Amino acid sequence: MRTTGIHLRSGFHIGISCLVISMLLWPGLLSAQTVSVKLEGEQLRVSVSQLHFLGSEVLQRLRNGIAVNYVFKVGFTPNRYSKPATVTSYRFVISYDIFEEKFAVSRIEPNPRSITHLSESAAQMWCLDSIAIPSGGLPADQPFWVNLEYQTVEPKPATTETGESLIGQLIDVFSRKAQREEARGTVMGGPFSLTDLRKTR
Amino acid sequence: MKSRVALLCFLLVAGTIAFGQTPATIEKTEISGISEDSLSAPLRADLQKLVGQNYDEKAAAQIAERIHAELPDYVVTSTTAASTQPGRIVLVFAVAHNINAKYIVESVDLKGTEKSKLSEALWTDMQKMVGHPVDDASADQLRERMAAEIKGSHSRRSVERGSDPQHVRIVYESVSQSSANFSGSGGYHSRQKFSGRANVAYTFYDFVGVRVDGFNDASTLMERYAGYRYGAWTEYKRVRFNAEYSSFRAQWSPGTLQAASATGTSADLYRLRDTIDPSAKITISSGFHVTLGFTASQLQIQVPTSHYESVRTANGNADYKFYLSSSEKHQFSGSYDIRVAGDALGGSATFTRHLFDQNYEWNLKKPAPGTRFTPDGHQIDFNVRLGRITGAAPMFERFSLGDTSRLVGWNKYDISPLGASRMAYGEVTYTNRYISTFFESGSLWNDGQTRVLRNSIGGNLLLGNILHAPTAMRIILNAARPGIGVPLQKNNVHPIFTLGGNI
Repeated sequence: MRTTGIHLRSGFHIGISCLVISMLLWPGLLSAQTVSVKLEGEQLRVSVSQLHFLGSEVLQRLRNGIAVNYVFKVGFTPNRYSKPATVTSYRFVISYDIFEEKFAVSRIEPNPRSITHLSESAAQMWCLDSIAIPSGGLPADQPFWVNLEYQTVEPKPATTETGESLIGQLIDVFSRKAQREEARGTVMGGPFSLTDLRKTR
Repeated sequence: MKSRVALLCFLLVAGTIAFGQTPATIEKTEISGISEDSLSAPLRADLQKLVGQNYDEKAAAQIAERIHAELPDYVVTSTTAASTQPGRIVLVFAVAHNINAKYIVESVDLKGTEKSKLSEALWTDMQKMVGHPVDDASADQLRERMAAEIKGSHSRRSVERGSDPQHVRIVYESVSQSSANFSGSGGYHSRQKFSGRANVAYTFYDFVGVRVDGFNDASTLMERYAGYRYGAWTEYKRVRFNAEYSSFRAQWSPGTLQAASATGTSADLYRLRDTIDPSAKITISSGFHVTLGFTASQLQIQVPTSHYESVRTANGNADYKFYLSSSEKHQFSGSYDIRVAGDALGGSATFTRHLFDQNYEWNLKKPAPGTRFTPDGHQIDFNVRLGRITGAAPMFERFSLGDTSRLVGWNKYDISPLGASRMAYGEVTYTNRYISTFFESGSLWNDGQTRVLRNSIGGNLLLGNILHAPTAMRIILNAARPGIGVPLQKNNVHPIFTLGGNI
């Protein structure tokens, strides 16, 4: 084996390759999600920058012409580590027009609405822009945190086998879970205070 | 002047044809996706008033808007379906959360299973969707019935563009929860003789898998290597972890042995090569992956005395694939691969290897789905590969050209019997249903050496398609791909005959 003495160059190349790999992953590192809150009347409007909740698996399903149901749950907590006492749910159905290659979003609840001819980013933005919660229950001078959870949900089976045994149903339920991983995520932001938000309004 | 008159005549005729068409009469109106009772009585009455009238796109759009106003969470679109009588249509208002509900089902197809595995009733119910707008609820119900009938597998559904505008195909795919596959490939090169590979793989739920490969390959590397490789992988979300162990015995061609002896590099020729190769493949997007890994190889070398040397490399690879348009006519794909060995990793070799591989595929006529082994399209491929090694890389990392898949008209042992540290290669291939022809150009050289560009032309026959053989025989004959490669040089033109392809 020829081992000509260029060890220093080799170390340099390892460094370079690490740098290249880091650069390839850089967009992922940069995409830190930041939660911001705006007060509009008595409604708190939550927005999350860089939140791309349509993952590659979900996008593949959408491009296969299948509609995907999303549930967003938003709630307030007094600190980063506690769970929200009350949450508000938003349900959306997202689909992708396989001919026009545009997204359509239906908000099922609350305040049903739908919109079509959106780009991927616009569809995500439209869902997030819909999220607003009443600020009524929040103390004016106490800091609070916003917790936003999202996940895909499978539509309920259209038929139920009435004659099937409990064990059979359990097997069915477990095997169905194994078939598809839910796309989910949580983002948290804070601390915010109503007093500050009123000042910046 | 003449051309203007001709253009005017053409426009007049076209206008007459366009305006002369009688608008179709609405035979009936339908609401798909919801019950008609969900609509207000006046709206239902207005829907009925459309029956018997001429189809007017504007009027249909107005009704769709009124439905949307009453049911704001739904996407509402109007579409027309053919009636049984000529000159008549069925006006359908697709009310659904899925935007694709506005398209008419052209056909319902199966993938990964056969019609015979489904009950007659289920198949009949599936076919009932043809001619109607896509109904997610019904289509999912049928998917569940299919999953119940085909035990040991799960079912997927997808909606694909149909051959007619505004028409779609619904495809039901049955995916086995666990699968065992056996596959093999091989090739023959008239100077390098046979190469082959057999593979057994077991996959559980697309989540974990194991495989065993057996090799006897004279095509891929400078040496003929024979042995086995074990591998296991598991996938979690975007990351696929893979680990492989391989053990190969190397056999060197007389040309390589002679060249090594002449250059005093016989100590580079190993007899055994054992490798451990863990890696993680990260899916950044569906068309872009990054793979990071580490390779540790142990080489048994017999010159000057029998001893072992190790080669350790850190590996990085980025690959991509995307289409320029939704018609999938133009596809770009490629990869960049880097391997680095040095003191920090241990091992006796110190080198860096870069390989840049780019491909452009132009599908003049796209092959029909399911014809992977019996292609029937027209396709032009452009491929470019550039390689560079700095330092002293072991023989299995060095570049070669002149095998069953690259620079086919040449023999790699004649070009560079010890491989090379620099490579530039380009290929243009045209493939249709019966034949594949190519022009290749490439050069191999070492740092400081002059570059010699070698060209070759050749072709392969898709015998199965030419002979219109039955399906099983057609796959075998097409895979055999008898071919010829002719070196483009003035003297000593000896064509190379091949069978099969890249293993």
